[in-house]
Amino acid sequence: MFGQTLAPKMKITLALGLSAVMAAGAAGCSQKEEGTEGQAEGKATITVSNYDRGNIPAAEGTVEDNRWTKWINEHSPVTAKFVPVARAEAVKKLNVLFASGSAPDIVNDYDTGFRNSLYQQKQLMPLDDYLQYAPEYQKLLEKYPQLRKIGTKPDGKLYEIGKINEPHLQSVAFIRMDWLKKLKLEVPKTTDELLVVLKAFVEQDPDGNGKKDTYGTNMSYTSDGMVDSMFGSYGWKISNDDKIIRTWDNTLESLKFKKRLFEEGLIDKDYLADKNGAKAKQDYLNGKIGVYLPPVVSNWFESTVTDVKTLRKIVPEAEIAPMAQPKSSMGQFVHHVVNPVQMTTVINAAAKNPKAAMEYINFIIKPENSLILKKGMEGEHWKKGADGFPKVIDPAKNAKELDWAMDYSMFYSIPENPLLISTTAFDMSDPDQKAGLDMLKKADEFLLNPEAQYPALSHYEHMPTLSSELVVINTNIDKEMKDIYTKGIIGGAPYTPEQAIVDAKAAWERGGGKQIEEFMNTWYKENKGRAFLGKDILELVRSQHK
Amino acid sequence: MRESTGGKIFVIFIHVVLIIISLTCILPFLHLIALSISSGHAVDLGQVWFWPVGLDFTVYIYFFENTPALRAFTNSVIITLCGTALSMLATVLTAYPLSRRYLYARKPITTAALFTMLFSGGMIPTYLVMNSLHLTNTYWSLWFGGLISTYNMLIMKSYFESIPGEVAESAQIDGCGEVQLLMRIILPLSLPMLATLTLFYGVGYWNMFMSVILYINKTNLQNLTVIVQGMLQIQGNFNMSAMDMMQQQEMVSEKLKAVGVVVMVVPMLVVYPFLQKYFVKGIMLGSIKG
Repeated sequence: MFGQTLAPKMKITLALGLSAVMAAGAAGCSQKEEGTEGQAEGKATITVSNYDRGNIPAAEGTVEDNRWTKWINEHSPVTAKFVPVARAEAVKKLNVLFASGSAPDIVNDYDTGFRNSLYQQKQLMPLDDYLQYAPEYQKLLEKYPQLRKIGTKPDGKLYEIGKINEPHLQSVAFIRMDWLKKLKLEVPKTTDELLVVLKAFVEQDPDGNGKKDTYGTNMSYTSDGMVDSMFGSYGWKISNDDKIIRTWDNTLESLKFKKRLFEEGLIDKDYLADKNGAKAKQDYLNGKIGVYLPPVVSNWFESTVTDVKTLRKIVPEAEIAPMAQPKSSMGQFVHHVVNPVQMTTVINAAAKNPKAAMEYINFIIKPENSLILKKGMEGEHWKKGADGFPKVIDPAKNAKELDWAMDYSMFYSIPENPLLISTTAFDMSDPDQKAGLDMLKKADEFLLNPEAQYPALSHYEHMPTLSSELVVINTNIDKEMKDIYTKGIIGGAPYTPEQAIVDAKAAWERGGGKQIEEFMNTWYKENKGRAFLGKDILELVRSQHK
Repeated sequence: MRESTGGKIFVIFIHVVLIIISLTCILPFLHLIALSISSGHAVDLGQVWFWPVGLDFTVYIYFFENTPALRAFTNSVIITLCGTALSMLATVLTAYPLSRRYLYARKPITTAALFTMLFSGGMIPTYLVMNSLHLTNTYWSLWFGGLISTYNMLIMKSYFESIPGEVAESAQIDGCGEVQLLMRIILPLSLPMLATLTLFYGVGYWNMFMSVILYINKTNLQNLTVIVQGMLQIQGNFNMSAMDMMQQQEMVSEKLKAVGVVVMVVPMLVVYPFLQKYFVKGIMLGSIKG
């Protein structure tokens, strides 16, 4: 009774509430889209994805609209509209854009697997017919045939635009020369000598404080990959009968070595707790590590100048030198190298004006334009130094106005413009920086040892992309094998590295690893001619150093 | 009653456990605050624990001057305030009718709402909907994407239901309509629950991340979470830093990350005490006479 009389009123209230919400929605719909301004008459308009790293000062504008996008659009033959893509979520975001049909015309992304998936979904534009609109890139293709080889997909057409990188090491071991001198030792040439040196670093009190508080080396985070590469333990290699096989032997030798490092106390026994390598780096900067294996050297200036300065504040007599990979029982290897040919850019198959897209790419990779996008305006952000190279006028100004703009020229091949190469950042009149540059040059020389092999099947960006089912299999087995290997290192006498390999092999078989092996070999058989493998990497890098 | 020795030990034990748990929550944050205001040199060498070494606030200045943080902060505040208000409004307007027994088709509507808790449209279809409604690149996409959290709505609905029917009945006998009943009787009685849900929604909007990444294509509309997350992610991933070789500014220092996290967390810490007083207030003190 009571309820029934009130029911109509109730409905009205509900309706009112709903309509209020709907009205709010309608207001949302009526918001105008902006972004049509700055469109010069007659110029074609294209959209370009650009990483958003959250580092543009608010006063400078946004990824879509700032002094450099204005500069680009003022000088470029086409009008570019930029689509910001958050760096950390780039693949997810671009996938959504593609799936909803709103992806940009030019897509810049470093992720090989992602670009391959776009190719498989037929989302990419073949570029062969449009190359004529990018003569700068054609020139590059002629100079570096590898670019065409890698950018070509299985159907024989060119799909990817790439760049040539500076041919430096991706990581290198740094050894304390002052400790070696003090203990009257030589730079170790083999892994056995390395063990002797590390033992001395731990036991003979190289820092002279009377305490046994030094480590030989470090293995935390990804630094153990440096040990793996001494033994060529990467997972895959090419066998003598030209097949792709697993590197069980290499991994065994590497494991044995790691176990010795651990059991003889040559590394921090808590190395597994150092998840991001920060503790190891602190130990190194505090002068407690003899041979520092950095997870990666992403900035040579920082590793050879800034870090050394920090170290010297604590240990004024510290002397650092890069160390070549010692020869191991599995042979002589080089360190991993920065990917010399890196694919970065594809064009959306749905692009309305691929000609304009190619013209845009051509515009950006003109050396004089990339110089502006990477170094700024002459006289404003840099001036020519005595050596003819650009010198930054005011680093603070550049940090605000310029340093975030590099992604606009992401696909530019730095070594093609001598004014841009990173060695020019070192100021030769400063003794510390000169020493830093010498270190970099010495590290580069390690690559030239003709006996040394590349420690992996290829750079990971050039490895074949597994199908999604195989990725799942691979991830699961990989995790299991990592745990087994870790047990092999820290498991003490009862759990030997040999046993760990036996168990890892079993886990590989059990988890379906054979399928991956089959896939790899089929891929190798079909793509032998096109694949960019370790020896090709070394060959290219060596030719760049000549 | 006096406690036995065993009881005392038990109480001490409980206290120790609780103190340890609260320390695990507080200490990491203290560490971050200390990192953010220590000198960079001390941070590099790992000398900073819970007390700052060599006071230095330059990174805060850098954070607000050299990154879009200030703009993003403002955006976060707008998203949170408007979003929370809209969500609370919509949730109340849904929960209240559903809590009335005489609502027509009450069961099916509730079931339909429950259904959305179990099955969602998924990322791409939702994006397509937003896109075709021209809501992408506006905050409406964020607010409408999860306007009503079904879970919160159900909490509210059962709270409304728990208010004795006699309260509503006596008000209606005095001539109170539905709107008035809701505004003057039910809502004032529900303040503790409203405060809690406001906080839930507020924190949700403040921490909103994936929707912003997906629906907002304009940098100047991004919120703080996206900016700070970007800072934390970079360099955390080995492959990524190796890919972007020459990018000096990639190397976001530990200090800057700490500043980002502190700036991200502090506003919620500030808001919490203001809402907290409602949590402890009695729920229906003296609402029914006699």
